[in-house]
Amino acid sequence: MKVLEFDHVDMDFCSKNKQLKVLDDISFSVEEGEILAITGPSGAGKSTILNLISHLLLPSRGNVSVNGNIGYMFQKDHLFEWKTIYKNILLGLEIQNNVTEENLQAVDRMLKLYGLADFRDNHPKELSGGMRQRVALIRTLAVNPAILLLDEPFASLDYQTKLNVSEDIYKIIRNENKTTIIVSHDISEAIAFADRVMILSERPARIKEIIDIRIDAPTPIKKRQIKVFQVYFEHIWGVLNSE
Amino acid sequence: MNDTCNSYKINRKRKIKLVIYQLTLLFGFLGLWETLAHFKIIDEFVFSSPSAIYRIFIQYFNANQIFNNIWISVYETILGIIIGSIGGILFASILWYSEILTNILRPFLNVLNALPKTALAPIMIIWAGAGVRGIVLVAVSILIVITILSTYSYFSNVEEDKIKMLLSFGATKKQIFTKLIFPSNIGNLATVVKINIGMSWIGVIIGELLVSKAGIGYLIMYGGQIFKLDLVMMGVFILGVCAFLMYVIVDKLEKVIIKKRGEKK
Repeated sequence: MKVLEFDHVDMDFCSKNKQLKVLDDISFSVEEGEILAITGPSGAGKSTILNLISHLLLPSRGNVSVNGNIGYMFQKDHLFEWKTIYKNILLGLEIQNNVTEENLQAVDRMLKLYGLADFRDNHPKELSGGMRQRVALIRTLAVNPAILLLDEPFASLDYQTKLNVSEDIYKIIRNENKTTIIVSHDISEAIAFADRVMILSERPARIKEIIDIRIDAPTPIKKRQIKVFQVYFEHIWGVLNSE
Repeated sequence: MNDTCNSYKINRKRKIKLVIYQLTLLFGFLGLWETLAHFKIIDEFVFSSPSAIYRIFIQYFNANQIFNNIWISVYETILGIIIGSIGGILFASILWYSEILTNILRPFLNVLNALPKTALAPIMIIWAGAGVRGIVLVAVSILIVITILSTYSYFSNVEEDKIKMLLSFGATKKQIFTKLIFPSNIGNLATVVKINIGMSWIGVIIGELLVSKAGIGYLIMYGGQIFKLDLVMMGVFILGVCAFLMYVIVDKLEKVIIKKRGEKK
C-alpha cells in the first residue's frame, strides 16, 4: 500500500521579485513499512520535500498525497530539561489530547523494550546523547504516526555515537514497522539505513536516480561490513558528482 | 565516590573563604570610616560614622520607631514587585501571543521605557493619592515597562526548532505557551524579579521622599531636612539590609523551584 506519493511536484519560492525554482518535477512513492533515504548536495531542497510531506508548504504545481499522520524527528532531541523522561514522551499525546489507557500501555511497552524503563523518572540531563535520541524517537512514535520523517537525525553526534544511535534507531523503526523517510547528506548512512536511496541534483532539484539497496544484513553496522556496501557507495558518489 | 566528596569539601572551603573576604571588605570599610571620623580626618557632622549610626539606631529602636518604618517600606516594595512583575509578565505574554499588537505597541513601549519615570513621580502621586497607593504606583511605573520588554524578549528567543517540534504534533499557540514558552523561562523570570527588587525599592524611596509620613524614605528625607546625617545614613543602611534579604529570599526560592523541577542535581 502506498503511504506517500509525489506526483510531478514543482516548488517555486519568491525572493526579491525573482522566482526561484527549488523542486523540478519530483515524482516518487513510498510503500508501507519502507525506509527511503533522500540525499543530495546541501541546499538542494531536501528539507523542502519534508516540509511538503508535513504540509508546512503547498506545492506550486503537482500533487502530494499523504496517507495518515506524520511524526517528525529532528537533528536535536529537543527534550524539555524540566520534564522527566516519561513526561517528555507523553508530550505529543498531551498536545493531541489523546492520553488514553491504550496509548499509555504502548508507551510503557516501548520504554521497556528499548531499555528506558529504569529512567522514566529521570531528567534528560542524566541521559547519554544516544539515550536522549531514543527518548525523542519514542516521543514521536507515541502518537503512532503513519510516516516517520527523520531530518538529519544523527548529524550532531560524534562518529562512534552516530553509528550506535543509528543502529538503535534502525532497530526500533524496523521493530515497529514504521514507514520512514530519512534525509541525510551522509551517503554511507543513507545506504546503511534505507531500502531505497533517492539522489537529488543541485538546485533546482530533480531526481537523479532512485536506487534499491539490497544488502543481506540485519542492521546498519552489519551492512557496512559487507562488500557490496562499497559498490553502492561508489555508485552513489558517481551519480552525485555527475552532471 | 571519594572524588565527589572531595570536590564537595573543596567547594565548601572556597565558599567559606569567599564569605571571609566579603566580611573583611565590609568591616574594613566600616573600620576605615570610623577611624577617619575618630581622628577628625573627615567631618563626622557631614559624613557621619558607624558608631554614630549605631547610636541613633538604638535610640530609634528604643523609641519603637524602627520596625514600623521598615515594615511600611517593605510592604510597599513587595506590593510594587508583585504588581509590577505579574502585570509585566502577563502583558508580555499577551504580546507574545499577538504579533500585530506587538508591532503596534513596540514604539510606544520603547518611548515609555526611555521616559524619566522618577521625574513624573510627583504627578503620579497626585493621580493616585499621597500614601501607599501613590508610592506603589511610582514603584510599579518604574519596573513594569522594562519587565514587559525583557520578558517579551526572553519569550521570543525560545529555540525555533523546539516550537517546530511542538507544531509537528499539531500544538496550538496556547499549548506552545503553556508547554514550552513559559516553563522554559522560569529561570529568566526569576532574574527579572530579582532585578525588580532593586527597581521597586527605588520607586518606593522616591515616593516616600515626596509624600510619606512613614517609611525608610521618610527617615532619610527627615534626616536630610534637619541636617541629621546619622539618620540619613541609618536609613541607607537599613535599606541595604532589606534589599539584600529580599534578594536572598528570591534567590533561595528560585533554587528550590529549580531543584523541584530536577534541572540540577
